[in-house]
Amino acid sequence: MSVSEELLGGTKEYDVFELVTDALEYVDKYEKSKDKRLLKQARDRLKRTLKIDPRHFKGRYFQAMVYYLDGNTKDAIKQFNELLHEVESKPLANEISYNLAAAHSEARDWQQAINLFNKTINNTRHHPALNLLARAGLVKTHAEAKHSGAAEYVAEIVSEPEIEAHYVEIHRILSLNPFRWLLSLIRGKKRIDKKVREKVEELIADARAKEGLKFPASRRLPLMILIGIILLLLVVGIAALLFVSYGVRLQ
Amino acid sequence: MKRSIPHWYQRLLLLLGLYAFLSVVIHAQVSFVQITDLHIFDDVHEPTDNRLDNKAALASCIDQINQRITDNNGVYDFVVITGDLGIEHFVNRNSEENTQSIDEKLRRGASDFASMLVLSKVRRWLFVPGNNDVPGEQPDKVKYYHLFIESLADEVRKSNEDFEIIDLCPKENTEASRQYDSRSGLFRIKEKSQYAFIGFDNTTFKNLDPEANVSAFRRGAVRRINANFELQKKHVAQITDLLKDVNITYAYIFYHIPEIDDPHLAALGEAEDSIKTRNADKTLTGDAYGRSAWFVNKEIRDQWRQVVNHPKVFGRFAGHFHDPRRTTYQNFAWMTSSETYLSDSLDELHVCPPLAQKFQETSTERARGFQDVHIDDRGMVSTRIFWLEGAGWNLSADRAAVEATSLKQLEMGLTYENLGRLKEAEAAYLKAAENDWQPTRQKALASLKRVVYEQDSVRERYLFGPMRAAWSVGITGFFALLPALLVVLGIYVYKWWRGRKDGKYQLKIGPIIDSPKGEAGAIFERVTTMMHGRMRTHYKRRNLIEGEPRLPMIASSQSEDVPTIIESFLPGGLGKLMALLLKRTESPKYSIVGVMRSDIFMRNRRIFLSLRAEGESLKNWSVDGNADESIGGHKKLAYEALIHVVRDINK
Repeated sequence: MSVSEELLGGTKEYDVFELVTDALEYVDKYEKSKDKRLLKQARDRLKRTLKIDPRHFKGRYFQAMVYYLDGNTKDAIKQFNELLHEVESKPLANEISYNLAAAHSEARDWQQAINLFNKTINNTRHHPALNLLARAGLVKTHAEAKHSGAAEYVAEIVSEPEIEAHYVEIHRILSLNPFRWLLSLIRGKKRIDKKVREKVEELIADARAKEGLKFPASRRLPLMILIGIILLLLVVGIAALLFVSYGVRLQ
Repeated sequence: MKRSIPHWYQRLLLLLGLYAFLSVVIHAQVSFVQITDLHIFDDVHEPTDNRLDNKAALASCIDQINQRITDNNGVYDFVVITGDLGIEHFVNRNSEENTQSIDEKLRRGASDFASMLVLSKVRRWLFVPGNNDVPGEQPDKVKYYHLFIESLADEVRKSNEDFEIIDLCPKENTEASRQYDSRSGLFRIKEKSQYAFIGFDNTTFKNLDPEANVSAFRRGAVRRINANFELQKKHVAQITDLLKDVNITYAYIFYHIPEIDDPHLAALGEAEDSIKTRNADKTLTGDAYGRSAWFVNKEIRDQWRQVVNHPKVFGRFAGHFHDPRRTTYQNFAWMTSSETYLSDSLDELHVCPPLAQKFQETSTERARGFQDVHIDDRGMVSTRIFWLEGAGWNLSADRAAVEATSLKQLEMGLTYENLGRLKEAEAAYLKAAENDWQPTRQKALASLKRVVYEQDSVRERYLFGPMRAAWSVGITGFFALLPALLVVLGIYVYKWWRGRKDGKYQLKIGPIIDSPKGEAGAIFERVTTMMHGRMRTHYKRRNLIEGEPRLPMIASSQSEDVPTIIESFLPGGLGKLMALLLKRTESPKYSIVGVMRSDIFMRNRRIFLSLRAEGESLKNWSVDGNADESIGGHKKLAYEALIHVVRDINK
């Protein structure tokens, strides 16, 4: 079964489609307002969805998400675990694995969280956004574990140099690579989504604060310099075009 | 019956026209070099001996002539030496010497001279005697000149059978005249027979007093004038006789002593002995000729005037002077009595500077050189002097500048002509023609004639000219539009690529045709669009980062505006072209079309909907429904159609 099939599964029923869409809209609104009542509405729609179609994948997935967002990590972990065992699509499995890791981290199950984050990192070498999130999740979990007094415990699972390597790698992915930037410009696709970038920056800023700022900060090329370079290239290009045009006319 | 021109007559006219068009009248032209006063045998006066220097100058002159032939790919018809090799040096005039000894000296001198001449690429050399080739300027002593020339001819033939030595003043039949003498000879180039070159022996025209050193006022010169009178008269008359030849169109006379003032005498004051002597004999020689190089009876001069004014005589070439001032040879403004000679047509007299260093050793300015002569197809002469400067040969600065300018303009004209820019070519050739050196001027005029003809020709005026103008405008326009076209092409290629890429995700909704009122179809289209929006909400990217199905884009929402904007932004045809190209790039893969039919009371409705992919039917729906439930029914049907597209895209 392909990714799309899993996500499209059960949407043949129009009513199911409408209920899930309503639920998703409530989740979207919650993310903006953080109003827990909206999560209740979403949960209600998803419940009705699963009454009609108990195996509805997307309904179950977002039910787990709503549990997680509502602080019900126990049910979230249970639901994600079920989905992880059922899912056949590897990319989707990685996402569920990441969410499961996040849920374990939230539940302060450091070992499970770190192992799942590591697993996600290893499986997403060609998926920079998820890889970045997993690394950020890992360093955040590590920082929180240390902060909560489990430093010695987590040190047995993941070493300090490993964490530092993750920081370096995060900065490398976030930093400007002109070649990749041009490639993404030509392809019309952003390599790292803005929301993902912001989420990652938020996670590592939090982690660094908890680690006492001992890990390196991101060194992004200032935006104004980038704009300046682009403008300069444009001016040079136009000048060259004018020069060629004028030169040809002179002949 | 209609009469027409006979076929053969038409053909004849055509041939005549072609002949007139193609035939170019080729006129003969003559080029030659004049060298004079070489003094390679006699330029020795204690303590100075210039003979070696003079020989070196001759060798250099021959080399320069050869160089000019090579560089200009040109041909000189001959070289003429107008006297004063210095043959008199072989004869001791004050003592009796045996003939065998003189002959031997002449032969050795001729051999020496021949060894230099044979190095020349010009194989025809003409000679006239100078006063220093005739010992004591005594008429019968011209025999030594003849002996020398005969020996020279023998010597050069030993090296080259084709080499011609032509004596333009050969010996007279002495039996008839009972006196050893020379006569005027005539030379014509075989293929250019209208030109005649006549030699004139005037070696006695100074009427030198053989014992002048004894007393300044001796009457020896006067005795000579009278003694040589008949002989001199005969020599001038010989020229007049030769000119009677009807085959001669243009005649040119080579002689040694020019009839004009001698620059040496012209510089002397009235109190000088030489001038006093001459003035004493004015009645015999004529009032105005006291400083002339000729010291002859005025009757001789009158007779000569007839030669000068003869309509066939187009040029006279002389030498004799050793004045170190170059202007002496470039114009005759220096003469004290130039008006006297005007009637003698000074324009046709060309005095060549000497090659020898004689009498110029101590002067700061030196005038040594040879004369480059060109005679055009109308017999007109143009000359220019190459001056010996150090080891090289140069034109005078002003003439060199004019020549350089002309050659540059010729080159420019040719370049313009090859580019088809005839107006510019015409201007350049016109500028090049501002040169009085005939070969260059003729080249410029011939080119000018060619481009003028080209411009005036029918094909140029009505075919090539307009074509060239159109081509020029086209090229200019093309390059002016090139950047815009490149931009359009770039956008088109990009849109075409994007269109191919995105077209498979595009969906066109409609038309949904309904009857009888035509509203329900539009409503269904709107509902489908709304349902598409709902799907976008459903499938938008959230926490799920990958794996959401790709949704179709509704083509109508974006494709129609872009060409309109482009059309209003780009001017004229370019905007329309761009809009057309962009429309061609838009080709949605999917389309939903349908028909609705309501009953007469508008209560029941039948919908037939067809989902198409690349023009082929993907799935069809045929639904009956109640009009009251139409919106809900529409939503479900639209959902089914759209989800089918989504599945097809993501399968």
